[in-house]
Amino acid sequence: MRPPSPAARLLVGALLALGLLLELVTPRDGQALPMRIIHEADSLYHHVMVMEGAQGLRYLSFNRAMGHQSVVKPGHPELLTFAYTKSGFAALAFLDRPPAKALFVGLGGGSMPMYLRLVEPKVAIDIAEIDPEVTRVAEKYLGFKPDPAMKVFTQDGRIFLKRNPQRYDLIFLDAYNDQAVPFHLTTREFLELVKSRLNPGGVVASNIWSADMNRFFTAQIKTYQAVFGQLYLLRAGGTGNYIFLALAAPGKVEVGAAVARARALSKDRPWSFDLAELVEAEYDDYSQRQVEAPVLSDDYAPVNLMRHQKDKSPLP
Amino acid sequence: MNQRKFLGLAVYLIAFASGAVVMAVEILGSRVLAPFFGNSIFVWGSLISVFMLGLAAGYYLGGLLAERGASFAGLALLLLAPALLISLYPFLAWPLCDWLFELDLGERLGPLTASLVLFTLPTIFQGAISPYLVQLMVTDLGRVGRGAGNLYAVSTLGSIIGTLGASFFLILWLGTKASLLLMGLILGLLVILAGLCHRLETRLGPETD
Repeated sequence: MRPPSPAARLLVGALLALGLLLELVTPRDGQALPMRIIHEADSLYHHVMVMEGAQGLRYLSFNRAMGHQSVVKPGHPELLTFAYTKSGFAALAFLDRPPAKALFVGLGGGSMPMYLRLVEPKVAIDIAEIDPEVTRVAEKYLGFKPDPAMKVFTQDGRIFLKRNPQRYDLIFLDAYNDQAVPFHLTTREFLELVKSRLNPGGVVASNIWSADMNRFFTAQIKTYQAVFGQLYLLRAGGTGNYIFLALAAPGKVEVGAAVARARALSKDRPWSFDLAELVEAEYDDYSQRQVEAPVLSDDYAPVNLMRHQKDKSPLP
Repeated sequence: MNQRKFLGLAVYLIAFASGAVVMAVEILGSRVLAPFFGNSIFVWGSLISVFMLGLAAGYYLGGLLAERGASFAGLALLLLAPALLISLYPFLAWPLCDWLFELDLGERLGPLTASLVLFTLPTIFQGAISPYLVQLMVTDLGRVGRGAGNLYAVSTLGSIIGTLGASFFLILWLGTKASLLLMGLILGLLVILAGLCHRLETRLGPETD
C-alpha cells in the first residue's frame, strides 16, 4: 500500500485537532455556554474545581466526572439554585420553634448556611467540613462568609459530633456526593450519635441522592426508621435528590401544621421561594412505611456496593 | 499423589492464602477505623504504612528464624499467632479504637497509633511466613532465587484476591466482623494444614533425592 501523502496526513491531523477542540468547548450536561474554570486544585480529599457560567453563577465540583456540588451567585445568598437546598429548609417547618442552633455536616459551596443566616439572622451555626480547601474555596470564590456565630470546624462530621456534646435544633447532613458515600455517616451508630445531639423536638435533614431506586436508598430509609421516631421524605422538585427529615420522638407532624408553620416562618423574612407551597407539594410521611432492606450498621454497611444494586421492590 | 509433591503444593497454598489474608485484613481494617477516625487519606496512609512496617519486620525476623532451620511444625506455630490475634479483632478492635479515640491524638497520629496497636503484631507473623516458606521449600541452594520468586508471585496473587474479595464481596456478604472471623478461620485451617504436613514429613523421613 502507498504511504499517505503529507497533505493527507495534515488533513487527518487537522481533523483530529478540530475534534479535540470541539470536545473541549462542548458544554457538559447541556449547560449554557460557556463554562469557564476559574479555580482548579487537588485537595486532601477532592479535585476541587470552581467554574463560572452564565449570569455570574459559580459551580463547585469535586471531580471532572461528577455533577456539581453547589451552585451559588456570590453576594446573592437569597438564590438557592439546587432544588434539594430549598427542600432542605423544610426542616424549619417541622421544628416547633425558631431555631437557636444549627449544624451543617458538609459545607460544599456554603449556599445553605448562608441562606439560613439570611432568613434566620439570630441562629448560631456550626459547620463541620473535613476539607480545609473546600472552606478556603467557598470563602474565596463562592461568597461564603463565616461570622462570629457561624464557624467552620475542619473535621470529619462523625468525629466532630463525637467530640462535641453540643445540642442543636437543626442538623443538616450533606456530606455525600453522587459518586461515593462515606459509609461511617450512614449507619445506625452514626444516626444514634446525631440523635443524641438534637435538642428535644429537633430535626435532622439529610440530603440523599437516588436517581434510581437502589438498595442503599431503601436501606437508608430502614436505618432512619430504626433510629428515629418520625421520618418524612421530600423528593426535591422531582429530581433524584431526596431530603430525609427525621425527628427523635414518635408522633406526627401533620402536613397542615407544617404548611402553617412554613407560612409563619417566611412572613416578613427575605425568603426567595414559597416554603409553604414546597412543603405542601413534597410532604410524604414515611415513619410507618414498610420497606424491605437491611439496617446499616458499623459492622454491615456496604453502601457503595448497594448503590449499584437495583431495588427489586419499588418504594411504597 | 506423590507425597513430596503434596508438601510442595501445601507450601504454595499457604503462601497464597496468607497473602490473601494480609490484604483482606488491611481492607477490613479501614472499616474498623472509620467510625472513630474517619475515612480520610490519613487513615489509608496510616494503615498501609503500618502493614508495610509489619511485613518488613516480619521478613527480617522470619529470615533470622529460617536460618536456624525451618519445619512445618514451626510454620504451624507462625500461623497460629495471627490466626488467634485476628480472631480476637471482632471483640477487641472496637473497644480499643474507642479508647484511643478518647485520647484525641489528632487527625494523623490518631489513626496511625490505632493502626500500629491493632495491626503490627499479626502482620509481623504473616511477613515472617514468606522467608520461612522459602527455606522450607528450597532444598537446592542453586535454585533459591527461582523458588523465592515463585513463592512471592503466588503470595502476591493471593493478595490481589484478598484485596478484591474483601472490598468487592465480603463487605457486602458478611460485614466487617464476620469477615475478620473468616480470616482468622482461614489462618486456622492453614495451621491444621501445616500440622498435617509436619506429620507427613516425619513419616517420610529426610529427603534423599
